[in-house]
Amino acid sequence: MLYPVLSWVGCMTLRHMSIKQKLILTTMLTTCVALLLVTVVFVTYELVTIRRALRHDLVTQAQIIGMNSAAALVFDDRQGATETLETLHARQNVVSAALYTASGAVFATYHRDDISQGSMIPIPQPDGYRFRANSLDLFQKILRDGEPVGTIYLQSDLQAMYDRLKRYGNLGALALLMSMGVGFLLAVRLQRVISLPILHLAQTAKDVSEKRDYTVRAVKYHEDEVGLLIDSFNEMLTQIQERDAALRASNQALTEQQDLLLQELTEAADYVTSLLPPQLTGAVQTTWKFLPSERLGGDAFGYHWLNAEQFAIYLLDVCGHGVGAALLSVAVMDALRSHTLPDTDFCNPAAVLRALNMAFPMEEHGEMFFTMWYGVYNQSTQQIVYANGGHPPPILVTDASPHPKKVIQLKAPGVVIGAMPDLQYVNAYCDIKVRSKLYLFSDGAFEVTRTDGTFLTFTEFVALLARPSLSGMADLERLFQDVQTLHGSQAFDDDLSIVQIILDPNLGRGLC
Amino acid sequence: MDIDVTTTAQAVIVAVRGRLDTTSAPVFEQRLADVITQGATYIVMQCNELAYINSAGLRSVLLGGKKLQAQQGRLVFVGLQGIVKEIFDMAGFSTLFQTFASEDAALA
Repeated sequence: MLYPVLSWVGCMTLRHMSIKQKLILTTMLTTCVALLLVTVVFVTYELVTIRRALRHDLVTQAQIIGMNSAAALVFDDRQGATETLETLHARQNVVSAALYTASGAVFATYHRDDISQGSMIPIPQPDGYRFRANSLDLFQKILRDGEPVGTIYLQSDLQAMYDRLKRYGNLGALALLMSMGVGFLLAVRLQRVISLPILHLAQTAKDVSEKRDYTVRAVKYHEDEVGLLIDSFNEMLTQIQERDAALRASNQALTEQQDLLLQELTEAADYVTSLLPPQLTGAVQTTWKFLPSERLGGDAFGYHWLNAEQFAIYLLDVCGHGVGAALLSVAVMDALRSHTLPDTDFCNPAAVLRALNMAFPMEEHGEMFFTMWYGVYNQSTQQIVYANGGHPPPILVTDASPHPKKVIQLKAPGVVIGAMPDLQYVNAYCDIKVRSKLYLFSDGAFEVTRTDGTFLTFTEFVALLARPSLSGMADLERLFQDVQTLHGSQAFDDDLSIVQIILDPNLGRGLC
Repeated sequence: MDIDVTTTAQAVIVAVRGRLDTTSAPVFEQRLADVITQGATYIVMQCNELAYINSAGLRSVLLGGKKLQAQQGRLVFVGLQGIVKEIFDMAGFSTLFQTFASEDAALA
């Protein structure tokens, strides 16, 4: 349990160390472990050697005492034996000694001065020695003329051995400390050979990352693996620098192309706007607002007198965006204004839409179709005849107080133009009995997102359109303002076109 | 916009979620073309979660429908509602394509 915890702590600590610290730590740990191992081997060897010397010395001592006391044992001379043992005073390591008779009885004893004279003497044992924690005990037979006459017992302390081991231990610790000190100084000095190039490489990488400056290069110090790494790093920087330069050049070219495209889109939008009709006053009064989207949609509209009584009104919206959509809308407008559709009665809206459907099949016009509402107002009959090709129905708002206001959608069934061959369109009719405002618009006028992300519905747009204007503000200005407020922006995804035509049956013919 | 294509025994159901507009229409067009190329002859476009469609979206639908028609196939619609149905009807697409109230009805 403890080992994994310590291992984890060690890993976490190592993880947060710098390379420099790791190198120093590694060197120091290696040095310490090596020194400790040497010290352990050395001390072990010394221990064995000292023990052997101590035993040998005690055996020799026992032999001398034994020889000197053999006669005393034979002749039962206790005094002489005791005196012989007293010579052991000269040997400070001997703690106790005893002589036994051949029958095993204690014959004479000796105790060092610091040992109690009544200390226990062990019973005699066979020849041999035994190391205890603090002493070495020796029993040895005393022979005289080859016959055993008694046994000698010697007990030596191990103080000398421990003193010597202690000195060795101190010496080892001192050597370890000195080695660590010197090792540390050397490690601090020598680790730079490895860490300096790595630290320099790390700093260079950090600079590149922070400043995005791919022109800097790391300095190569040595021809080793780190040198190889630095070469690879520099090569990588060179590649990034080249790609960065290429990317910048590409971006610059793209920006220039985009600017050019935007300029062309703006010019195209200006051209489409220039084709839009002037605002009219008189029997038929017109006004309009046209706000091309940033990408240029395909909105276009127009109106013109077909003859003295009939006034054509139309608005179209090509699907999609861009110059292609704008070009198609211009082509359709040109066909309507110059009456170039073959065998077509331009006073018959259904016929006009049929002719347009035949003239502009989407397969031959960039897979684009368009929606269109086309109507003809007859001032004599006070009636609008109209047809619809998939376009949002215009709104007619009667405007003759004191009559109640009416809001009429000029709906007629019809599919978008160019979608399929042989599509049929039908005429619908609406009488204009009182002064009325006719609003034509593209889907961009009402397909807008509100600030909360929901969409304005057609019905809601119609309600906005029919709302009375504040005094002094033109209807279309107010409507634009309302839509922009709901959208939360003045920029729209699609073209935004609204045409207002005021039809007043009370005004005389030919006032146009 | 998200598109899920599920193949059943009777039809390939293409469920479209989100906005089918100028940005997403090319992706939808390509996906529909892939489904048609793989041999689908009856495609049910599931529009329950279609939040918005504009003219670019209608164009991609129309192109897919025409491609399918050229292969004697059929594209039908399920779950048209709200502004999507309003735009669909306004463009006259309800007369070009068959619409169903439910998927079961379309697969019956």
